[in-house]
Amino acid sequence: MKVRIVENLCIACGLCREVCPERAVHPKMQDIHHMYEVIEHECTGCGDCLPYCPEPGALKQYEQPVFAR
Amino acid sequence: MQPILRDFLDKWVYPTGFTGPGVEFRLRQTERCLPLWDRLVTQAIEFAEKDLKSGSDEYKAVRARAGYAAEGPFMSLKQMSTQILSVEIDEQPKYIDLQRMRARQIWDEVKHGQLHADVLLRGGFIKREEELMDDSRANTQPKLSYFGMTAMFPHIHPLARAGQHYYNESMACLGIAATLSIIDDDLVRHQLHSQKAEELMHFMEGKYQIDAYALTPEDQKPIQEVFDFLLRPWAPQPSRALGGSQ
Repeated sequence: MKVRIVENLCIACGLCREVCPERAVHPKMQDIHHMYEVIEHECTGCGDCLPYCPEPGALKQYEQPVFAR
Repeated sequence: MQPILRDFLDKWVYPTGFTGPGVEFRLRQTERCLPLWDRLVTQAIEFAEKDLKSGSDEYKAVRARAGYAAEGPFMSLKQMSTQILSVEIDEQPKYIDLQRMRARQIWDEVKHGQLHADVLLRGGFIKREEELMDDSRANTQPKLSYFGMTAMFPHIHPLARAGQHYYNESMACLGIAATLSIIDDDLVRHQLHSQKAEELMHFMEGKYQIDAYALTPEDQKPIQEVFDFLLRPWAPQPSRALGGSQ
């Protein structure tokens, strides 16, 4: 499993960044809106961030396709 | 005059939405700022060129640590909280537009600290942001009276911050533009590009405050005093991350 950010729902509060035990959430590169991104190879899919997200649906856990593992 | 400063003046300083005594006051103060703004651009270019010539990536970490120190505790805790508190409850209806912009700036400054940490993380200089808490380079800076009264001074009157916004945030804009003109590194550009628009907004906030509110000698006095303070040679400059010396 992995977690990704659904950008049109995310309010960029950064809570997921603060609680991620792997520090896999980063500010998006050169983004003036300060949105965040989950770096896929750093994410273990633990889902610890999910209960902290204040915006329903903004963090989505997904199954990584077999060919991408 | 540096072309970067000329461009900034033509695009952002001289165009005005309206006329009046506030605008005239601001343009008089602008004349006083010009030599220092010009020197800042020259210095930021020199620093960037020197960093590139160093042949090492360490300059990215030096800039990021200084930026983390400057835009974490310095901006968010001290300046932002005091500028919010400078408007008392009774005055809030009058200055509600300023209060909203200041609240927005707290958000911005918090994000800027994260950007500096992100440079260090993505660059492999640290593994976790917590490491910065044990690193004095990411938590201290050589500013006079780090938590003292001179640093509080630009926030005592509700309009005093206008002088700081106008003078210092313009230097952030100029330092960013100068650095971006020299350094073509993804991480450095990441941090600078991501906060570029906000520094400009804070400068424009100062411009708006002066133009709209500094209409009488009484209103202009606290802003004038802040310019008098900031234009002293020992006044703080932007951090190394934004092209300054600290």
